[in-house]
Amino acid sequence: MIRSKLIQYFLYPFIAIMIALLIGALIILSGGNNPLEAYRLMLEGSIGTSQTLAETIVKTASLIIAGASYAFAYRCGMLNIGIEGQMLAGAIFSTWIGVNLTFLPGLLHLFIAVIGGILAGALLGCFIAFLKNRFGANEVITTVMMNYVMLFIVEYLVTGPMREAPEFPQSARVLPSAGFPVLIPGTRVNIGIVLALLLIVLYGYYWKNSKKGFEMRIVGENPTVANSIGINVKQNRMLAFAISGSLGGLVGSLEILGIQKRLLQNFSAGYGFDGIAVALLGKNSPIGIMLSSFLFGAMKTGGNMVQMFSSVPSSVVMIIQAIIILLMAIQVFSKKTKELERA
Amino acid sequence: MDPILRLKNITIKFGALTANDNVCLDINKGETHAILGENGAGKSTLMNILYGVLKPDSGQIILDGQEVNIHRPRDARALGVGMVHQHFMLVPALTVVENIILATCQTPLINMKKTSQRIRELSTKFGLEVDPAAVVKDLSVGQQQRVEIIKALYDSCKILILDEPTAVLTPQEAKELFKIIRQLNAAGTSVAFISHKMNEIMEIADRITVLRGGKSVWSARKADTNEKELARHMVGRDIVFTSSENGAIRDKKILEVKNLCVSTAYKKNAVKDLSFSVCNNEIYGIAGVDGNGQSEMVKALLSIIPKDSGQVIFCGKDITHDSTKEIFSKTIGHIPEDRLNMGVISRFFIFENTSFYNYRTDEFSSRNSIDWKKEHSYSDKLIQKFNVKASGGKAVFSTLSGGNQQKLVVARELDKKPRFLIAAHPTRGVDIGATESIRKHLIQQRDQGCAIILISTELEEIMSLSDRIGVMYEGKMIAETTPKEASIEQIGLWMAGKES
Repeated sequence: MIRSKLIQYFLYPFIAIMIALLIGALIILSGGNNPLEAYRLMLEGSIGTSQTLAETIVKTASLIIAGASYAFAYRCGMLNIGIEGQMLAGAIFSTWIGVNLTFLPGLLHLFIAVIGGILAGALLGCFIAFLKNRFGANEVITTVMMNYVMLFIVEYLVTGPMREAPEFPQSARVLPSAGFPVLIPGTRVNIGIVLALLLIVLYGYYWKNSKKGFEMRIVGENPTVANSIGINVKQNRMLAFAISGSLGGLVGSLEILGIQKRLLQNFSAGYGFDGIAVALLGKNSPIGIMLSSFLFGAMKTGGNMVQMFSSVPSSVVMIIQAIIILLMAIQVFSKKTKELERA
Repeated sequence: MDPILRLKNITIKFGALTANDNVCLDINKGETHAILGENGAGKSTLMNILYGVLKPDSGQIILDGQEVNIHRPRDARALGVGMVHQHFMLVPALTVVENIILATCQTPLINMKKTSQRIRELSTKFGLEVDPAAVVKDLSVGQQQRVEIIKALYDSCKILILDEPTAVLTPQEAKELFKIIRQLNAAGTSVAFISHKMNEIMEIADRITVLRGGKSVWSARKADTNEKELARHMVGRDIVFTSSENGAIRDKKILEVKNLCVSTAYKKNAVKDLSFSVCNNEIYGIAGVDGNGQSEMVKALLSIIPKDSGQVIFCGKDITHDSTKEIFSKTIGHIPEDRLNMGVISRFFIFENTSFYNYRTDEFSSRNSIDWKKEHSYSDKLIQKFNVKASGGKAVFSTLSGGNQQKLVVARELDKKPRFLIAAHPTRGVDIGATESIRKHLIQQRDQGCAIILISTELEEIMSLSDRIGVMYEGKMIAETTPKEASIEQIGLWMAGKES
């Protein structure tokens, strides 16, 4: 029992990572570069110095929250592919509050700006759940479409109503009072990482112990059973998507108020999609999401370093990530097919 | 004259279940041979063997005096055996011709013209009116069935199998079908007609074979028999009744259902104007062929699906408009007809499954969190108390055998000490040992004062457990009786829709 869990949660992901690194090495080799050197650079560039480690931690924070967002909907039986869109919604609201509500004092300003971002994401999530509950619309389609909608809204805003100066497609800078306080001076590490760790602990507790979490798990496994024993399926789906969306919105707030400080056209580093990978690799468990977030964060920072100091492009990192996801997804399916065969 | 088809000693086993046990069947040229039996008697299994869907463990199929091996439906069709399944195998978006080509065309190129011509030929010959160019989804159910029959007849068919063909038809459409069958017979095609409705069989069949419990128990010409005799053979006469009367005073109406009407997306008026009541210390058995509104009634009582109209009263309180959650917060239990889709999550642990109702009670939770330690020891207690063979609450539910899974569901429902319990097919698909234990628990529960609705298609179970019996037919309670008053033949007739 415990052994099979260990295998499932640690051995499979470990093998997936190793195979991906091996294939990555072959690709680097085929480009005429030394894979060991590239990996050494990647390691050094991600956790080698205090400065790079700080960057990795900054990225880890966003990835943890994005991963929790995906996993939250997933455990209630739904696929939230729209974290990217919810993130953009959160970013818009946080930016607007951060720029315009100048009368708010220090921490309150930050608090309101973050709440604004969370609410924006939650609203978008509710909209998706509403479409699913009312019309039976598949959430994969609607979330993917909303991603585009949000992308274009951001584009419109930074080139129109929210543009600061005519020459740059970007908003004004948020006030310092709405910025995330820096945790380690001289780096970009802010209280976002504390928030992320706190949230992932809450996440673990919610799914392990809470009544609502138990209900959502039943809905996720089999809505017909949930309905038959008196659990409101639609209500639970609505709540799950609202929470998933609000976590997505929070990633947007964190990105704007903690890192970018202003709304830009392409400010997103793709955390919305990385969140899916992180949840998949971490098997939706709190510790798994934390560890895989750190890994993906490290690869993101390390990839930049590799590109800077060798002729290996940083897209190698994306290839490695893609292979990890692929291998994990195959496991998900092979487990499912085995169950089908047994049934 | 030798029969055109002879099935000899066909036996097939699914695990421990013998679905067909030395079944013998003769069908003559140009006759309609009815195969009668209750649900699970092995009718469909036998026909699937003849059509090559299933392979028998032993036995012979002799066609036109020659022993044949049928490995797949294509072989059967080549030998002149066609089948119309209960659920149609048509592509709704395609036209009639396209569907027929899809099923019958063996060559790489298709010939629409020739196929349409053959369809017209068949429809004029047998009165199978259908437009070859029509799109299937626009056709009525009766017309779709005709398309299926044409499909089966397309390559010269000697024996046509119809699996419960009237189940989906209106009475008028059924009459049309019977006309077609007679024309087929006249042209020399034999028809194997599967049904559990006696009046139909008496109307259309030339000869009848009764299957019961996987065995062919009896065979006769229609002219030599009557409905009563058929009913007796179908149900089986040697049933041991263990009367469970306990002499308790039944003075309180625990559940009262008044004029309940239910429609679903698939079935209008699945339950029609249904009224009955159950008292304390009483098992109210509901007999009926599957699909006559029993499961819709249960779901509507529990507010799992909405009611069109009617009233449900539990212990004097109107619970018609209560939600499922509110209903289960009262002392009401439910053993569902399909545990895997209504009662448990088989991937969850046992202790999670046993917590499905009590996780929201104060005893097992505080504010927002569930006390899993308590739930764990509770599941261990249930396992012990109800003698479930499981290593403990921490095992995954799906590792249990079917009988033990059902025992655990029963345990969970009975341990609520319900005043009212719905037991839908509580022993279906369960081995003999578990069946005995489940029945014993139900009787024990009744003796403690519980009002129980027992829904079953097995008359023997209904007769031996119930204090009163209602018979459901097409959504209505067409008769009410007690096991002492009514004979099993009489109930069998009611189940087939014969009011008398």
